[in-house]
Amino acid sequence: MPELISNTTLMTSLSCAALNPGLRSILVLDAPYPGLQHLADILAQLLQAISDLPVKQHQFGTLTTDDDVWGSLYLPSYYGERAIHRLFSAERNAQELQMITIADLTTLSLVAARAVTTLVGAEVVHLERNGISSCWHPQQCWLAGCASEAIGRLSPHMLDRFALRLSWQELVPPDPADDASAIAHLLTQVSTEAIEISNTLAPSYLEQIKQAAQRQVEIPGSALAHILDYLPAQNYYPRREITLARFAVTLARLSGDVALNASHIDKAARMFGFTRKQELPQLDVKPGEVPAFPDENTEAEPAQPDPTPKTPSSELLAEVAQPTTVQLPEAIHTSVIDSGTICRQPYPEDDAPLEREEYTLKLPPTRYAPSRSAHGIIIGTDESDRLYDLAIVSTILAAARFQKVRQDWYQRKHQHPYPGLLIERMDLRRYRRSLPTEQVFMLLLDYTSVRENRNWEQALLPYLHAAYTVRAAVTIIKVGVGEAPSPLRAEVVRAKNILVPRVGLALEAGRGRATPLAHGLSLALEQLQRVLQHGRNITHKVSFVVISDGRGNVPLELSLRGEREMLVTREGIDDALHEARKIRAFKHVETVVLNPQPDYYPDLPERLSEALGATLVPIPVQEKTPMEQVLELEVMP
Amino acid sequence: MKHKDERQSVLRTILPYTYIVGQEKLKLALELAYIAPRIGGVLISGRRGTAKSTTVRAFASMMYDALPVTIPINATEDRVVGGWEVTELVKGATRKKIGLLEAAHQKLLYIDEVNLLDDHIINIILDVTSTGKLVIQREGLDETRDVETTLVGTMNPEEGGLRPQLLDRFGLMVGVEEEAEPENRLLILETVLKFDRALQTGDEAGFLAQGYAATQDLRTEIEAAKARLLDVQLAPEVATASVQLSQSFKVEGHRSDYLLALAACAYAARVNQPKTKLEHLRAVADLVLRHRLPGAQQVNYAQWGAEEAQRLTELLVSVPSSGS
Repeated sequence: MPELISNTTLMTSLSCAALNPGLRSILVLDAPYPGLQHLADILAQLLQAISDLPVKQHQFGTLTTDDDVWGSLYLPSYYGERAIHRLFSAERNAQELQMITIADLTTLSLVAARAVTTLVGAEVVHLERNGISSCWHPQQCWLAGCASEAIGRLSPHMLDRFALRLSWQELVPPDPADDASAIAHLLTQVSTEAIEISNTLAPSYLEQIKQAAQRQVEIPGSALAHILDYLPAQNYYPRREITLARFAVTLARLSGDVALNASHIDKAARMFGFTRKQELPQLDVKPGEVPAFPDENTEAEPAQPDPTPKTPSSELLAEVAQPTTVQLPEAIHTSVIDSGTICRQPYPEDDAPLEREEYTLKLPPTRYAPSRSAHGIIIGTDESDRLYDLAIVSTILAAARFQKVRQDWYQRKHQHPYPGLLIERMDLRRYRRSLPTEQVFMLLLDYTSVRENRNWEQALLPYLHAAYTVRAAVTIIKVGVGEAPSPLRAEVVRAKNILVPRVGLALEAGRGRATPLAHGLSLALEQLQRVLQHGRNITHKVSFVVISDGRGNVPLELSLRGEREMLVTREGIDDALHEARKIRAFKHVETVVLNPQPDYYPDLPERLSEALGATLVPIPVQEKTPMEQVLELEVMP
Repeated sequence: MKHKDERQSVLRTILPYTYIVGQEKLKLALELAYIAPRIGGVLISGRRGTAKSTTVRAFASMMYDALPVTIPINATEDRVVGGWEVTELVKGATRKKIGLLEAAHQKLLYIDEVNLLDDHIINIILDVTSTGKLVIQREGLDETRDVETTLVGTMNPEEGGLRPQLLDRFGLMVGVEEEAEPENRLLILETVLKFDRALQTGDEAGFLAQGYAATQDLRTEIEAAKARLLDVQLAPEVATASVQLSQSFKVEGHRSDYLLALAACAYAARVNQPKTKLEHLRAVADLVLRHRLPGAQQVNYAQWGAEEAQRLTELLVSVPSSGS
């Protein structure tokens, strides 16, 4: 990985984020975790340079719970309120500037995602939990990573909170020479320590940032109007426009200019990958104001020379920016500002396929009759009147608050103190857990087998209904699908439940030419092993529906090797039956084969069903149209 | 005292209400609910970034000199309902700590992201808003309090809707949309940047001070409207039209005719008119009817479109004048 602090475009964007509290929520697309951590270290130095408070770094992740974020029950007299661990509070907010890193937004816990929605970009945060009542104006910096192809899994409501978008691929383009030297370096390392990359910013640079923090710029309305050129009214999101404006203003501050002008906006827009509209909005420009619109028509043209008079500090910066005239041993940067692109597509969520559940930020429904088994990820604690799945620490803390009162009462009644902790029913706390998956619906769909019988969707419907009713997790194994990355292999699609949009997309896929049925059944076998035999799983039933005519034409070995030897042999069918017999051995699996009733080899579905130990259900045959009958006669030998 | 200081310092970070650009329907709904608290509340639904929460906080800080009593989505039952002061309890002293519902008595109770609130907390709020009584039966407490509050909720419909019972508790509903006009977009940008600067520089330019001064005038105006409410006469044709509108739009629930008339009275008080007119009813009809239209409870995006507006116009034109 190259040294990030020598990347002037990156440094410009991070400096703007540090300087403007409205830009301190950054989403970095496609960044590796070490890269994200380096960015966090750099940002922390920048923030420290301009803040009077110490900058503290924190992490948000998969296991973050409500108690981590907002604190649990507390005992003020014993611990002292300050010692109570909670990430966000008015006290911490006043004592430190928090820098929170989220390695991967897609794996963030539900409560952490809800906290992000509450905290990021908020003007006020309220905390009303466990006897604590507090509110504060948050001062935090958020840095989150996410793969751009996974953006469709996230709530757009949460994504909208992240003002600034950076693309790792564009800011740090892969350099094979760097990668090769990194690998060579790693191989020669005796220990497993990572390669040291210097993230220490030069004092001269930090001084410039500090000076920029002291500067404010004039904002003529006529210059600001230039922004409307970049974001069309038909796709108008206020926060995006505000972000662009804030970024442009911060660039002006960083440059040392006294007023915002069109070139700052052009620079900012270019960095965001925005292109300019051809038509200008009809806005009244008051007489005497600075002309707002330069003559350039496209964003590709070079920015106009900056007509704004420079302040003395900007002249100083310009001098520092010349490496030949100023010798600073620590200085790495040759310029404070660089307007390379930071993200060509800053809002990939606008076009991403829907891969998330509906209402991803809602808490799962409360179970009023909790199961005795303690399964499901813990997301918090609740009051309880039962002894199942007790949250012991929370229960003890709840009881401890009343100990003085209860012990006094006990002493009066019995004339001696009670030797232990007095716990009453109202103290009981249980874990609140996300709903565990207890049933799985698995569908193997051979797309090549249903071309002649379109009634398969109708036949499948009752099984989908049943899967919805029990909120089963869904696995779809796509066999012989069109546009498959490898036509000789089957594919697996997994979803939390039947309502996830990618389930519908999988069912609507087109058919391909090869039928790797054996590979599909082999994948089904792996899935069954995973859900029924792996670790502390709690799946107690798998409904496995197979829609296939049994005519597999790709041997399993060919699928595994991925070779394109399109030999249609019987081996494909034999391999499929062999894999099917292995599946038969599983307990807790109810298998149904929906028979499309093919004209050729009508016995194969029956043999497949027998091998699987499945129930064979015929799909009603669709009557052929006269044209189809004619076509069929022509094809028949 | 510490908490009071905390809240006062936060109050200085709220944009003055008079600086909110556009969003006239939203402002009107909040003002009507303040003038006539029996309206019950306002549900504000809109896409992200449409200044929903900002407007509510700005309004509350103008009218109450305080932030609204707020139930955040992470609230626990003890804070919503009330319980004991923990700091005192561990010392053996029993001092009660009032909950948010009680604190919001005769004030504005604000729920940000109301559609993300825990079901259990929603049940408690429903109990209180439908009966007007807060029953505290927990941790050895057994008490009942009268609670009348103006419930204000904001939500982004992309993240789900509300249960019909809760939806019905909101007398008015506003569908907030982006201010798409270039003039307003520009004004929003100018306001945001000036506000940013004021927060960073301690309001050197007097931007906030100027805004707060303007809010005082507006507050006086709204207070005067509230005082006038009981003197406003409900014109017979407005009463008739309220019933007819409810019947014609086949609204769900039984409160819409009353709410239409009440909102029209509040509007008349706001515009300083002694008697309601049909045009007042027209100004508030969508706020009352939007979430009560047939099927509106099945969708998160309760729409009041051109078709509904046209029907409203036709219906109001057909209402016979009382001749008074």
